[in-house]
Amino acid sequence: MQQERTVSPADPSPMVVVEHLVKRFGSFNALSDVNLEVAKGEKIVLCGPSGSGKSTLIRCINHIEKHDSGRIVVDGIELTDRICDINNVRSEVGMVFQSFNLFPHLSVLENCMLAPMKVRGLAESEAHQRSMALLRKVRIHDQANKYPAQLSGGQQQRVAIARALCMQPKIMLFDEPTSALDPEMVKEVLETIVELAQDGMTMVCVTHEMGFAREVADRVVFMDRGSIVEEGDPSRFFRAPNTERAKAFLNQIIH
Amino acid sequence: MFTVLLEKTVDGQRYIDWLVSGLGWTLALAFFGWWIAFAIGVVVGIGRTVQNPFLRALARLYVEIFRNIPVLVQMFLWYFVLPELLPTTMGDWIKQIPPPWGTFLPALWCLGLYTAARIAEQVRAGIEALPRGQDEAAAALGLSGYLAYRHIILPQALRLIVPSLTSEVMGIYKNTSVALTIGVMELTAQARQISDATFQTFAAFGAATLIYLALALIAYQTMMLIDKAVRIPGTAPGREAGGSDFDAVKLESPVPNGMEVVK
Ligand SMILES: Nc1ncnc2c1ncn2[C@@H]1O[C@H](COP(=O)(O)OP(=O)(O)O)[C@@H](O)[C@H]1O
Ligand SMILES: [Mg+2]
Repeated sequence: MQQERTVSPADPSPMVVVEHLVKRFGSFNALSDVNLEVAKGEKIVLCGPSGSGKSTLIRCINHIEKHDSGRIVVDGIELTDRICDINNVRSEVGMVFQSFNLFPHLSVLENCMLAPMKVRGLAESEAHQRSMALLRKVRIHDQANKYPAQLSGGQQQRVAIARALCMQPKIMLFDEPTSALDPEMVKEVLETIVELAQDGMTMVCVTHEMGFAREVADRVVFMDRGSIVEEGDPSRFFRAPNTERAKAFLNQIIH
Repeated sequence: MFTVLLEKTVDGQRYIDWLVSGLGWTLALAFFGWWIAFAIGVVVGIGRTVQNPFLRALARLYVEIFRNIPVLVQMFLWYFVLPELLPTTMGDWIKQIPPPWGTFLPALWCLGLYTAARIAEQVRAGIEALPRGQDEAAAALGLSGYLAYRHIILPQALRLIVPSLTSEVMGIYKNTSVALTIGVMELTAQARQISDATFQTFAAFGAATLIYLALALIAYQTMMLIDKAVRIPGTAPGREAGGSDFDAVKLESPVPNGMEVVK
């Protein structure tokens, strides 16, 4: 695993640049002066205590949450309020939520086909083909005609991953993809994400699964109270964090 | 006791033909009024939930006006007051619309707009009852605005409110009887005419009541079939939208609630 950690140097322009990002909810600073760069092909694990702003940060990256100041540039496009830019960016950024958020009234296959057809303008046959290929990749193609409510949590989350991949995003954002799952389903979802990482997908994943972080992350970013407190190589970070806050946090999730 | 209905009237028909004709107008008012109400109600209901504050205020204004003025008053406003408010030529033109249509159209319009305001509130409640994650998942896929409403939000919100729409269907068909006040010869008006002509009050209104009851049951059963047909596989039956301030009919308990229409 270790030797795969190196970031491909072929394209030096970063996939995501976050500079001096500030996000407020009322008078509360959910993010204060966050700086982060994600290189193409890089895999980042984002961790930190509950309420530290992890979700807010990745939601700002695809503009589900509007930031108050600072810059966010995704694949060369700066996020502003311009509608066409936002939808352009969003269709390049795949997002997987803690609570899956599948569309319950659509079958698994329709969940996958909708956005490629309506946003990308793909023909139905092409969308169908692509969706089936990706459902096969997450090993759920035999459930393609079922509805979300008929699947287990782990299966739903894998469908959600396939649905995001159907837009052929350049980066995937995961917000605690396994924390709503029963323990026995965590593994199947993590394996799917690991495979995706091995294919070279750029990703930012909020998770507290340390084994997973060690296996795939190029970098661990630790947040606390709306700021990035520490970042570094996962094996070093988990063994010997530099800051007291990270130490305290790691002690909590281990015990 | 209903034998009087088979007797000949002065115009050579039987009294039952009057009832059937009244039934026809009642159905026409309820059916076409419903589609007007549904179309406008969905649009206004969406308007209540959009980002744009101007559109939201406009939709709110519509709902408050049409929901809070009694139907009877609205009926008079459309029929008696509107032609006077319009420029003379237009008002005169409206007043000269030939008999059945001159009263039917204002009645239809009135029932449609009134019921639309009520449906709009149901639609809004349905949209607001959806988990926020649905919006966000749609947005994250690049589906926003029209596409999100069309493919994600409305299909779910409408399914959610089928039970409360059932009571709106019942409502509009009961309210059709208000149209008699401006002279539409619908079911209740015909019953009164029969009663006046024959002095058989009980037979006339008894027959009308039975017809109203039968219609209620049919409407109710139809909505139940629709609810079943659009139910999402794997989900529990008969959920209701939260925040509804109306006496929503519960689909799980067939007759007793369905019968509330007679009150
Ligand atoms: N929509 C919102 N309105 C108000 N406060 C919010 C909202 N979303 C998040 N917050 C607050 O922002 C902080 C960061 O939240 P979040 O990014 O969800 O944390 P994390 O994902 O790290 O647990 C929390 O204190 C939370 O209460
Ligand atoms: Mg979170």
